[in-house]
Amino acid sequence: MNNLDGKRPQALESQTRKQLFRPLLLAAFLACLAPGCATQVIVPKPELAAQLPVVNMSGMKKFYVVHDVEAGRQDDKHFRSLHAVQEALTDHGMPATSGLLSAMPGDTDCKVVIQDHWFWDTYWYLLSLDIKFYDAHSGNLLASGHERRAPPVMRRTPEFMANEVVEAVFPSSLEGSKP
Amino acid sequence: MKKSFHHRHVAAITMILFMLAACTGWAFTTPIDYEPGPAAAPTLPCPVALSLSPEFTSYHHSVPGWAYHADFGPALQKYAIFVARSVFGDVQVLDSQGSRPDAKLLLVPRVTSSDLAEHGGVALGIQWDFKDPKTGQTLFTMHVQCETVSPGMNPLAALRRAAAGMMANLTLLTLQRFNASSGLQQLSGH
Repeated sequence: MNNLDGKRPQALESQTRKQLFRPLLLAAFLACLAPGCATQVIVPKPELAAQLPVVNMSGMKKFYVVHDVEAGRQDDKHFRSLHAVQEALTDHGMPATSGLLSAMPGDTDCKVVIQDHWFWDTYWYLLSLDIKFYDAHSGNLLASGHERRAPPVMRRTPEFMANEVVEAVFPSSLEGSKP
Repeated sequence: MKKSFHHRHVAAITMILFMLAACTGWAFTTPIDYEPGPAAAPTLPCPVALSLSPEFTSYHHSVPGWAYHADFGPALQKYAIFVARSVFGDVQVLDSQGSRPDAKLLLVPRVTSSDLAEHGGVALGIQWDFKDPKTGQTLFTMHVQCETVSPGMNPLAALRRAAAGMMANLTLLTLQRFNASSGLQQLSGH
């Protein structure tokens, strides 16, 4: 009688465990699938916009890159943006230099004005980059490009973003160029 | 009971190790799985030399304060050789200065940007310079950049998957650009 009494609760406990275990296992399996499904399907995209050149800019040989607002734009991050745009232009066949607006050489063909917005989220990253191309002599806006990358998985270096904007504004540069 | 207790400890220790790694600067290496396979018949056949600098073949990306870094070097080396052979066919890979006398072009790839983003985002930018083998003067340049996003809950697995996808996409994109370029066709005599 004692043995029987001892077995009954054990059997009942085992059955209860099984009853609980199955739904829990199923829930755990679905929980494992759910984030995978969500992250696989929803992949954010960068915001990229470009206004193509309104005139033929192939004759322009000297580009000069400056910040839109020079006061308060002297730290390493902004220098990096400036340098990234300068390198991107040069790599795409548009020889460029950069610096202060007051130091722009007189023979500059195209003034390139950039606006970079850095943001801090456990580390500094380039949130958005605007590049505007002006005729250095007339001051007319010739072309422009804009990119914004906010989601963590989409954040890129200034070099990558600068190249992307330059290629969006000058699609013909994708074919390669002569230096 | 003992077993589940043990598993909890292992999980806790793993978490602590990740946090310690992040704090102390020690980094997990993200392997780049990239095997391009044999090159197909060249599309712009001509003898060329390919110069791979030590900076290119040992290129790695690390994020300060983050516990992961990627060793792109070996994959980049395979990528450059595969692309050059697929387009030009007859390729001499140079490990030092000086190219073959019959080479029409000297190809010099370099990395312009690289990125590892949390939860599976990998990007790479490559600048290809095509130089005169005799004078070293740059005749033509082409920039190719590519990114792949492959999010997942396991950061290391997501990065590994994204890196492999990015290298495959970069190869495809580079081949398309090279083959579509009228400037390269002229330089290679086609």
